[in-house]
Amino acid sequence: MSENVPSFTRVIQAIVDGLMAGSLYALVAVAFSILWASVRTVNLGLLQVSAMGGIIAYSLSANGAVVAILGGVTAAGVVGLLIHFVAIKPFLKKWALLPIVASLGAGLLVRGAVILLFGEQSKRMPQLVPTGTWEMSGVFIRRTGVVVLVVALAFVLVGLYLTARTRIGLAFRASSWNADIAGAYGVDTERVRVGSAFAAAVAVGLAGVLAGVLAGSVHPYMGEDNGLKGLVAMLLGGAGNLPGALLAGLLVGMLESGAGMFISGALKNVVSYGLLFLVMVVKPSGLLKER
Amino acid sequence: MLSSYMDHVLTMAGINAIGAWAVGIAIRSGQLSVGHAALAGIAGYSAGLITRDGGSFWLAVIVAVVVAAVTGAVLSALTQRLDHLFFALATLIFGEIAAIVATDTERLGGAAGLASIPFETTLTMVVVTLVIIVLVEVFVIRGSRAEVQMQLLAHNPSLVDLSGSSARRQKVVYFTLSAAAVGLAGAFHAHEFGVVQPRDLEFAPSLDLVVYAVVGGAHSGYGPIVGAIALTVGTEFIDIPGITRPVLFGAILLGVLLVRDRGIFARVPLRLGEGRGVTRSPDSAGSVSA
Repeated sequence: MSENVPSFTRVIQAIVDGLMAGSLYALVAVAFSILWASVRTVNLGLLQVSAMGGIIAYSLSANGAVVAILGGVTAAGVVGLLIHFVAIKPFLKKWALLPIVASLGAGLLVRGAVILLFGEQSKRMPQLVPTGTWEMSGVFIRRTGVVVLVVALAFVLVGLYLTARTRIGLAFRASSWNADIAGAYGVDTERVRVGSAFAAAVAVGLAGVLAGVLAGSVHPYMGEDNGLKGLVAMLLGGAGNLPGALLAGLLVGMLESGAGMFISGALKNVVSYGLLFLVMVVKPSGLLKER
Repeated sequence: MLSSYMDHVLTMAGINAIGAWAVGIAIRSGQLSVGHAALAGIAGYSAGLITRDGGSFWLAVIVAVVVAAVTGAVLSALTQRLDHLFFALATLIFGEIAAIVATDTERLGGAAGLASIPFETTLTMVVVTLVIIVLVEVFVIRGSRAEVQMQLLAHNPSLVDLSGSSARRQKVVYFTLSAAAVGLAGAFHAHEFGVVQPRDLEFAPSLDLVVYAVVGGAHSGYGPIVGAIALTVGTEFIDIPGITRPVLFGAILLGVLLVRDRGIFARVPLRLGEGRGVTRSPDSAGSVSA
């Protein structure tokens, strides 16, 4: 971005780029928020599940975009459920730190399996969706970015609709509020927890696929960046608050791209992690009120 | 005499044991840190900057320990309002920031790291440190107020507040102690390899320390030490084709937790307030849902 571009255009450009990256953070944040609302833990193995989703989509990309995306997402969902049963559920009634440590271990195994099957090096993601760039009075909009934004937001909005307006969502919200009382009223809280684990894994898998599409490449370590920022976005939005997670995800994306454009491109990650750390320190309960 | 290779492996095992003991102190007081390698790395950089220009090794070690302790104290004090889960996340982000800053700082050697640090660490130093740690565990910590305090902080911090002292303040104290210990390990590490690199600060080596501690038994004093030595020496000689170190560690961690969630070498912790909700039953002693 050259210096003589009007600053207003650069602001718009930062917002556009930020929304595209931010929609991925929002997707991850909503996934972790769903999990927190019903299971009350964080499955750190999902970071590796996300990368796995992207890499499986890459390996299926010869069969067309739909097969690739569905394949990556389904595999993520299945592996996510597996982690839930092996590394999360056995420890839920025990010490709160155990599921986190165990899910980290499970994540190492998932990444190991991915590296064993697909290799460690970065792979060029074939173009699954239309590429090219639109220009509108100096602002460049990547078509891949628009597709990513639309798919991620559509997924999140459907999730929000399901939780806010349907009977499944009522069961989810009730057991999030108080699992014991929800159980007494006939909600199968175990099914809600398993369903949430699956939904969260599917969401991070989709985030992995979309991250691969957006970046044009996939590699086994790609889950960490989006995953960590998504996790903090979940916290910013107020743990367990799904609309909060969506907004905070987009906000983190825009802050980061703004920092990259106006402060320092090289220090972009420091700035964004630093801002995130600052918010965790100053306002740990999140920017929005927990429901 | 030991071969120099064996000497190196044992020294590394000892350094890892010091680091794992440090992580164990943090975990025992209810603070899961996945950023301890960053504290060690910061200590290593500080020490390396001194000895590389001809400064005294022991001065460098002291500076490293102080720098790590202060950093740990600030980190812990800033993040005490966070739930343990998000505390872990904050330490993780702290490690990432430290690694990025180290990569971007020319004076610290950038991505290649700080090189030409003299090789000063000896096996004897590491063994003496470990002996001191074990003596402290056996004669100072075991059965003391500190041990009870740590268990309360980990499992029921509100009891500490109810007893009139501040759980947050005590947690900062234990985290500072833990950071100082891992700083010592970091200084030894830098002078064993002759180089400190940004990737030494990242998440992966931090996770290694957690694996040592948890597999060995984070709730006992010697569990992390035994865990670190067993895993470091073990993985040095076990080589299964296609199974990388992280995968092996992940499998061991998950397997041990599923079979024996207190870790292999942990003794059953003190039973505090049996029947009043602090512990549930002998088989889940010390592991109460928060």
